[in-house]
Amino acid sequence: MGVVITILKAYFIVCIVIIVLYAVRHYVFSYNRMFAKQKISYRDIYDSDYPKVTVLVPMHNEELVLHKTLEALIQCDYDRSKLEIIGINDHSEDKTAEILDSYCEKYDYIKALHRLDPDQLRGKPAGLNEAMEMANGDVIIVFDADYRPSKNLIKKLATAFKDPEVGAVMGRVIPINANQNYITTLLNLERTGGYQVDQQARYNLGLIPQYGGTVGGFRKKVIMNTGGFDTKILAEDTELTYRLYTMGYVVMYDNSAECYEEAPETWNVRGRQIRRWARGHNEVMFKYFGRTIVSKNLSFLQKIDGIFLLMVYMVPFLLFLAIADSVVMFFVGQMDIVNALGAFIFFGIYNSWGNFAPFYEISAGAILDGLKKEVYALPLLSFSFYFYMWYISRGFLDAIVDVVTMRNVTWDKTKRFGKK
Amino acid sequence: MIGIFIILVVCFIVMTSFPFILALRTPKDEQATLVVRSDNVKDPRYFPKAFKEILNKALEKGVFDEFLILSRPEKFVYSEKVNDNVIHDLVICRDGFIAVGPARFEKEIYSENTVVLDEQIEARAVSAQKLLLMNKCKIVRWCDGEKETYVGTGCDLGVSTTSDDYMQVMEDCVFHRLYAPQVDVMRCGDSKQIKREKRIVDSSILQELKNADETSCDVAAKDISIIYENSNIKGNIITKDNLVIKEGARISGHIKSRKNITIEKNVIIDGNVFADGNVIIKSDVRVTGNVFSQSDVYVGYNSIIGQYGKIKSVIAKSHVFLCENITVFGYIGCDDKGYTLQKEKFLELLV
Repeated sequence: MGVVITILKAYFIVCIVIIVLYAVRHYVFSYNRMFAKQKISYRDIYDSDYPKVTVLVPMHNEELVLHKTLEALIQCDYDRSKLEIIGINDHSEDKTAEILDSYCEKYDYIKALHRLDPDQLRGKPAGLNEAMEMANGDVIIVFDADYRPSKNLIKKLATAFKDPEVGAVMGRVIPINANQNYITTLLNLERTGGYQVDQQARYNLGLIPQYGGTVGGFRKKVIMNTGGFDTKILAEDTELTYRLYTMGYVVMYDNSAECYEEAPETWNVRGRQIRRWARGHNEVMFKYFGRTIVSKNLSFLQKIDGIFLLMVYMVPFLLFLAIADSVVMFFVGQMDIVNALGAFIFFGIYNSWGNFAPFYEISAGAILDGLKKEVYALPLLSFSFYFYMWYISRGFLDAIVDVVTMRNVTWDKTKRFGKK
Repeated sequence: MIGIFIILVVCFIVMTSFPFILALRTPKDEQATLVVRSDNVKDPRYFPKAFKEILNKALEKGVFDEFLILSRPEKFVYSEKVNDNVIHDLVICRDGFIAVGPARFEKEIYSENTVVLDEQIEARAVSAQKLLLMNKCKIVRWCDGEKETYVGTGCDLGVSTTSDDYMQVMEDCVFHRLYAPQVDVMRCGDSKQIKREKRIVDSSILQELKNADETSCDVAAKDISIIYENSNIKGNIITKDNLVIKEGARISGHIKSRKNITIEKNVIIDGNVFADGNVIIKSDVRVTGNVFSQSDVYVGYNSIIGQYGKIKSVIAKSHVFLCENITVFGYIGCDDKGYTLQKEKFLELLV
C-alpha cells in the first residue's frame, strides 16, 4: 500500500511540474509576441517569377460549401499558366461530384480526382497522395473545402518557397462564423491565441511553427521522395511538420496569409473533430518522440519545443488521471480536505485558463487582434477545457489502440454548416 | 477555522462565477468577425493608383462649391505654379508643375505631366508622369512618377517612392520603400554619364554559371561557413552559421543562413539570398534573385540585384544601406529606415 501511495504522490507531483512547464511556455510565447522583436514573413517580396503551384482541395460531401471555395480560388491573382486546382472527391454521396465537374468544364486549370472505388483507402492522407501523383506543380497548397482564400493568398504562400530552407508554409485561419454562438466565439478566441500568438512566437524564436494541413503548402518533391503521407496517421499535417524538421527543413508561418474557415457550430461536431485531432496528433507523438530527441537537424530549443508540441494532446489525459489520483489520495486519507480543495482549485484554474486554450496567449492575441467584447467570454473556456479533456482523452486512447493493433484509421469528417 | 474555510469557499465561488456571468451576458450579435479583405492584392504602387482612381472619379462628378469629393470634400487649386509658402489645398495641374522652395504642401500634388519640387520643398504626396525632387526635399507620405522619378541628394522620401518604369536616387536620401522596374542609386554629378543599359547583367555569364559542371555542394550543407575564392557551385547552400562567400565565387542556387551572410567582391549568385542576420554585399556583386534579411541589408558599390525585365526585391527587417552606383531591379523595403550613401560613407559603415 505504501508503494502505491508513493507512486500516486509522485505522479501528482510530476503532473504539477508538467503544468508549470506548459504555463511557463505559454507565458514566454505571449511575452515574445507582445514585447519582443518580431520576425517578418516573406509577404513583402515582389517577384515576377513564381513557382508552379497545384492547389488541392480534399472533399467529402461538401455540396454546402464547395462552390464558395472554388469561386474564391478562381478570383485569385496567381498566374494561370502556373496554377492548377485539383478537387479530390473522396467518396462523396451528395452533389459534390456534379458541382466539381461543372467547374472543371468551365475552367481548364481545374481538375477533378474522383475517388469512388469502395475498396480503396479513404481519408485525407490517401486522397492527397493520389492527387500528388497527378499534380504538375512544384509546390502543393491545400485548402479544406470550407475555406475562403483571399485574392492574393496563393502568392503569399508560394513566396515562402523562395527560401531554400522552407519545406512548408502555414497561413492563419480565422473563423468566418465567429459570432454564430458561444462555441464559435470560443473557437475564435482559441484560434486567435493559437495563430496570432503561439505560431508567430514559435516563428520568431526559431522553434517549430506547425503546418496545419490547410491554408498552407509544401514542396511536393520532398514529400513524394519520402513516400507521401502516412495513411495510418490521421494528423498528416503534424506528421509533415516533424518529418520536415527532422530532415532539416523548416515550416514558415505567415501571420498575414489569412483565410476564413467555417468553425464547428455544435459541441458534438467540435467534440468529434477534437477527438480526431487528438488521435492523429498522438499517433505522430508515438512515431516522432524518439526521432525528435535524437535528430541532428534540430537545435536544443527546437527539441524542447518539439517535445512540448508533441505532448499537447496527451497532457489533458495525464491531468484527467491526476484529478482521479487526487480523489483516490483523498479517500485513502493521504490528503486532508484543505489540500484536496487546493488541488482542485489549482487544477480548475489551470484547466480553465492554462491548458488547451492558454489564457496568456488568448489574452495577448485578443489584444493584438483588437477583440474587445469577446474577451468577456474568456472564462467560458473552463467549460471547454473539461469538454476537451474528455474528448482528447478518448482520442489519446484511440491512438494507443491504433499503434498497438496497427489497424487502418478511418477519417471522421467534420460536419459543414454552409454559412454565408 | 471552519469560519475561515467557509469564507474562502464563498470567495472562491463568487470570484469564479462573476466572470462567467459577464461572459454569458456578452451580446452575441455585437461580436465582429475579424475582417479578411478577399480582394486584397499586392501592389507596390498602390498609393498613387488608389489616389488617381479616387481623383478621377471625383473629377468626373465635378466640382461642388469649390470642393472635390474625394474620401471627404477637399478644396483644390488648378495651377502650374503657386507662390505661397504653405499650401493647404490639393494642387491639380494638367501641364507641368514647378514648386519653388522653401514651401510646404499639406495636401497632394497631382499632374498629368512633369512635377518639379525645388530644394527644401515639403509635400504630403505627389503623383506625376515624370517627377523631379531637387535636393533636400521632404515627402511625408508617398510620391510617384509614373514614367520616371529622379531624386536629388539629402531627400526624405517618406513611406513610399515609386515609378512604373525608372527611378534614380542620389546619395544621402532616407526612405522606407522604393519601387521601379529599375532603381539606380547614384552620386550627384555622375547620373548624366550613366546610361541604363550599362546596368544589364551580361546574360552569357549567367548561362555559363548554369552550365557549369563543378558542384561543390548540394541541397543542405548545414555547417558550411566559407565559400572559397573563385569556387564554382551548383546547388543550394543552407547553413546555421555565419557564411562568407569569398571573392570571385560563382553560385548557381539559393543561399540561406540562420546568421549573417557576407558576399565579397566580384561574386555572382544566380538565386535568392536569405539570412536571419545581416546580409552584407560588397562591391561588384551580382545577385539575380531576391535579397532578404531579418536584420540589415548592405548593398555595396557597383552591385546589381535582380535582372533587367524582371522584378526582384531587397528587403530588411531593420535597415537597408545602398551604396552609390548600384542598381536594383524592383522593390526595396525595410521596417525602419533605408539610406543611400556615398562610397566613402558606406565603407566607413562596414568598418
